[in-house]
Amino acid sequence: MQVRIVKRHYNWQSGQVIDTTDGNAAKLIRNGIAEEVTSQKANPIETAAPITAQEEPVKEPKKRKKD
Amino acid sequence: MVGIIGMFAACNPVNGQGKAITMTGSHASTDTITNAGNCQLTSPVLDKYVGGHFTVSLKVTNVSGTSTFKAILQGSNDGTNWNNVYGVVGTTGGTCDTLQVTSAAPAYASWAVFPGAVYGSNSSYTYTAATRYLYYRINCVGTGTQSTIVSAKILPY
Repeated sequence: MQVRIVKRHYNWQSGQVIDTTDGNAAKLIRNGIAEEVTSQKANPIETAAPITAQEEPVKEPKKRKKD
Repeated sequence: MVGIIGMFAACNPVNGQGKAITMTGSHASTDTITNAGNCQLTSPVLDKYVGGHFTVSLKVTNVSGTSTFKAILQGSNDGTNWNNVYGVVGTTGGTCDTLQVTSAAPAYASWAVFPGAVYGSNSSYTYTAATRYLYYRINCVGTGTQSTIVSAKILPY
């Protein structure tokens, strides 16, 4: 599920835009209706597991059959 | 385990990817309230932000005297005729149009604008007349003796 922004703030000191995103207990305001947001992807900060290179088994050259 | 994850997950502040648009006054990014005068910080036309979700953030800087004024959030569709955005009476800002700033406090304030007639936080809701406007401004009306620099950003999302 896509993470939704429920609040956006401006940090005057840093000049950064800070978002507050929905969580399990958060509510989203849309068209005047407060919706419960049940996010499966609860933590937007969490990142996918690092991709580690998988070593492919070295294929041994096929032995040629002796004629 | 799921509960623990949920506790950490609720309402995560993260560095946003959105941009902050400067609201202009008599200068490119600021204006000055002098005594009982007034000034306005106005957004550019926001027609491309069709979602209509905005945060308007105000900064107050005292130069001299006592920085006391009303900051009123207003919207317009032609840049000429202005209405109060929420249509809610009060002086606390946030959930009403008017913020009373006294002795430069609060130094920072913000309004959240949601189309569909509601302002909300996670725990409380105040139904308002808010709708989507093409322009927003903060109308600052001073009282007393002061020189106060005001600046504002509007953040679409």
